[in-house]
Amino acid sequence: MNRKGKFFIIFMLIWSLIPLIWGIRTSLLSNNDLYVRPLKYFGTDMSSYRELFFGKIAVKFFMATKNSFKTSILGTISGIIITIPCAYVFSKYEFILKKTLYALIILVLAIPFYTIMIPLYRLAVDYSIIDTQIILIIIYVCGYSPMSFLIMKLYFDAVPIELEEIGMIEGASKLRRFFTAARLIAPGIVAASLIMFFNIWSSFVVPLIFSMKKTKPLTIFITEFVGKSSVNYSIMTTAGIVTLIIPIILVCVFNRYFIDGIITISK
Amino acid sequence: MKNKFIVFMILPFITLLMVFIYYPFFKSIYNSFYNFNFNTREFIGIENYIRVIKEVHRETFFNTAMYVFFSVITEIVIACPLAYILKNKFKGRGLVIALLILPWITPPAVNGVIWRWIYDGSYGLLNDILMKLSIIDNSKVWLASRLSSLLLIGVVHVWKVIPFMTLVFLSQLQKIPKELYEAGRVDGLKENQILVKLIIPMMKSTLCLMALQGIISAVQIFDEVYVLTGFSLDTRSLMIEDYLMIFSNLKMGQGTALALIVMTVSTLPMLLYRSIRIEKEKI
Repeated sequence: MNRKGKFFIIFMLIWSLIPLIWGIRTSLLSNNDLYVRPLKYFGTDMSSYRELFFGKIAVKFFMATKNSFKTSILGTISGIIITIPCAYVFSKYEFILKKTLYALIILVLAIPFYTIMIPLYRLAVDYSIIDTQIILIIIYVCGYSPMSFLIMKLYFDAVPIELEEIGMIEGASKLRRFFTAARLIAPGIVAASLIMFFNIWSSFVVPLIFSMKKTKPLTIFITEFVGKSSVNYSIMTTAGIVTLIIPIILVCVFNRYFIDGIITISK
Repeated sequence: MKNKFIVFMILPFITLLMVFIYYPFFKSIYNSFYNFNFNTREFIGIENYIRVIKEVHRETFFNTAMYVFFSVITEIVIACPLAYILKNKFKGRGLVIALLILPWITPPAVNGVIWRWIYDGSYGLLNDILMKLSIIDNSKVWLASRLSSLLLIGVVHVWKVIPFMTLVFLSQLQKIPKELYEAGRVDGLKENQILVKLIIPMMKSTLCLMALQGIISAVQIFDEVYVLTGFSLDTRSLMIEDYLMIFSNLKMGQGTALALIVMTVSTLPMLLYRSIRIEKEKI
């Protein structure tokens, strides 16, 4: 790699990381220290964290955290469970209407949430499941699992068809062959789950409309500081950083699978 | 027997999509021809579409066009060379890629919160750096003037999208066989010529796809704008206008019509492109 390339990489690293580092810095200053000139570049003040975890808003904060985890985990698990068999069948079997159904699943990715929002809202009100985990999870599963479907189908495509044939000769049942193949694409399942989890974890518009009170996730909790008369930006940023930590930890742990998954989609 | 198995495997997912995506979607198309809210309903034909075109604030069209124009160009101009460099093997490459991905997994709401303290008029990092470099004398309130705030919100969006595009370009570049480079070198092409004559033509379809993807995500920009400048007309995007139309003016028919228009305009090129590709692929 030449010098220009090195310089560009370093520049991009700085560009990608500075906002995050600046966010951490803001969370480590007390709200008063934010309004000081010259600017403080470093902070060690944990008061915002203390306030967030043990102060008056702690109850709301933990509630939001719990909600975020609950919807993200339940949504991801149900989305993955429901799409694995589908992805497998689309990869290994031929059947009528296959092309149409495939297009039907993929087209979901082109339908923005805004276009289906009102009928869904109405449906949720009619069945009084508004502001419950159920409606959120349903929306996430429907909206985000076509992507998981696509990823896992591509992974299944990479499993050699001979394996199916051997299974058939040995007299393994269809279900058994499915589980064998599913075990082989474990990395794909991890990648698909991660991408789905991040999507749900970050979602903003859906809970903005469908969560009034009980099911508010962290993303909405953060922005609620804005409307109030005196905004404590330090705590707001702290809450933002805490929200960001979970995806960062997951990416660190499952880095390889994650990048592999993204590369698979782009093929 | 075989058919039973297939139906059993795919039915749950397909049913779910039918009930919660396609039913509401067609219901929305149907609704867009009605003047309706939770209690009343009256058929008015394409009146909603006409009213939307007339009543939507002209600024929101301009703003969204600005976001799209700025983001798509910047994203591609940065992501392409970055991928080209990352293609080389070097020490710490895995770590670099892992760090570069972080912006992409940052939730947009958090993204907005963090950038607020970079753009702040009196105590933001941007002013501080520019003043230290003596590019400006006094701190500027960036999010107060229209053009600069559009641009800066665009930057926040671009910051988030670049990692994804880079990874896609990278995976495509890695598929190009090494022999091609060698053949180019044997023919006496320089590094730059290989890039222009061999690599870029091979990347054409990916470039096209990413530009279309960039358009879709920029047209639907919402979270970043909402967190940074709220509902201010100067920076309001079409999707925020739509949100206001539905939830604060309660003009649901018009809101639905607007959402459908935006969806059609932004995804039609992608759909055409994809349908050509799906025809070619065998699934």
